[in-house]
Amino acid sequence: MNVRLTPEEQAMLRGERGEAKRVALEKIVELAEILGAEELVPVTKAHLCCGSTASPADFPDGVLDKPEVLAMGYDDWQTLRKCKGLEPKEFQHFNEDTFVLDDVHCTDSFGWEWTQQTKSFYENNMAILQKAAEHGVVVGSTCAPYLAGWVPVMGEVVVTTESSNVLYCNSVLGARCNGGGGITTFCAAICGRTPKWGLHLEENRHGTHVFHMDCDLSTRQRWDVLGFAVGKRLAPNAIPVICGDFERPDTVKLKSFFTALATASGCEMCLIVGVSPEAQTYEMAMGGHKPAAEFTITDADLNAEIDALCHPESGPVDFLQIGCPNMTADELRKVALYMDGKQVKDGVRFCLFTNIAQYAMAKASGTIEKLEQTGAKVLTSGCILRTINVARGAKGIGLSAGKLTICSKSDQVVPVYYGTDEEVCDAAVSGWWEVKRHA
Amino acid sequence: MRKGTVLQGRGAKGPSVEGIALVCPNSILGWNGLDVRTGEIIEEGHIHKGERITGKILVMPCSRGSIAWSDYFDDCQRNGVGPIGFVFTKMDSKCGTAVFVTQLPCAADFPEGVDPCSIIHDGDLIRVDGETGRVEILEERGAL
Repeated sequence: MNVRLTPEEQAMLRGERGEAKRVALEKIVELAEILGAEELVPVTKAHLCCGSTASPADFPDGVLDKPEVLAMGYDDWQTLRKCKGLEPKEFQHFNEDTFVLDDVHCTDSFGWEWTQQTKSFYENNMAILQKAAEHGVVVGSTCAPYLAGWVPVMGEVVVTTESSNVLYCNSVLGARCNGGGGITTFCAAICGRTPKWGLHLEENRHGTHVFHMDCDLSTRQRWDVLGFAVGKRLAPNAIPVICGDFERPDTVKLKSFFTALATASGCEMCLIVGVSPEAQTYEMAMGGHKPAAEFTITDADLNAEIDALCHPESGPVDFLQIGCPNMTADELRKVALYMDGKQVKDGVRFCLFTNIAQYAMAKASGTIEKLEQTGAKVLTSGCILRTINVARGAKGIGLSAGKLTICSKSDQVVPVYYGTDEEVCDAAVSGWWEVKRHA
Repeated sequence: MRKGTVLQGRGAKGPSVEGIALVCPNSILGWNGLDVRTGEIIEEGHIHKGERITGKILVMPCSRGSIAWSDYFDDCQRNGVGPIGFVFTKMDSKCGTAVFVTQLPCAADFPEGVDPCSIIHDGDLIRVDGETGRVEILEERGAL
């Protein structure tokens, strides 16, 4: 099968726009053939991992200063791993017309001590990010790029390495985005093209499975566990439609919902009736199609999810985190209000993860100072799963994101508790997690 | 008699490959689904938990799980314990990237009503022509 190319793409393929674009476009054309796409489409925004490619699995003993790891992704700036056949020296810049923002990475952007890392490991990662900036990347270092000015408009075609961002872009912004993976996203950002396929096509953007809400959805946590309740019932590659009489969600609730939904199902688009631009009504969401299946989600379903996530027996905790996806400056403000007059217990480590844009706003607003006076630490650019060593040595962990809880349970041998942001704050003050059953 | 049965899908990636089918009607979860050092399926509740994908042709409806789904197959291949081909009932973005990174033969996008996951059985010897999308059952499991 042949992929139709525009004159500009043909010129790129002949090498007239440089070797890097030629190699990357060749790969995108190959991907288009694999997918069955007939043409390509320009990518105006890309979001991808740009820091050290080191991952927690590379450091089972927690020793960070390993020469072979420190060398990873620096000299070749990731081309050898992510765009085979492209000589590192040929790759000078991502596509100039594409807004490229980086995803989270393995260090805090502002320090190494609180996260139990080393200066050399931190500086190595910062040097790799600097190299990314020289290649045209705007360094925002976040899993929630829509909180850092990377906000596509309806119909805009974007690529991303963050599955919750795929959902946010398609479902809230009406942008056009397929998942894929890190390697194809990297190539798309170099040549500024991706296969026109899947959720880029109008005819594929309609609901398939209908979920009726018969439950309280007034809090962020309820939306977090709704992601699991829906995700577990969903067929692969389905597009759920969320409908019913429920309180209108905001960005904070939706980013939690999409993170959990992506974790539980791999779903890439979810239409929320009355909220999603392409689902102002139920009929609009379904686009004339009949649902393949219908479900009703009750409070009992959501309560069961909360109980299933949380470690069953109360106990001591000494590592607590809020912020998955990265927190907004306003979420930080609310935690600062809740923590006002309280102190984090000695020996307990309590961190809040945001991105560097929201950090700057929170700092300008005095929020960072207020939080640090309570003994909490505001970190950036990662989370318990991504920031290597941040939770090392913990004897009990408390989290307020279902995704982090599930993933941490397999990484950690210690109890992992799950609750609301307020419950995490309370545990930071007392050093104890009192389990409440909800079912 | 399923021997000789031909399923016609779309050729996603050539060339042809012959091998033993491992049929996963509920796909395989990426994260926490595969041990990339051994190629073993470790997903809780998976019908093939404890078996290896190594040297098999994976027959699956589509991907399941996170955006990093393809990475697990890439890592298995790097460790020498990957599969040798793919049959996907319906192509999706993560399957596409998995085929792209592993460069393995693949047939996908079978017509409505043609379900490779029920027609092909575990242990069947099959040939996948990734150029034409033709999948043939060469020998049934019992005959091998």
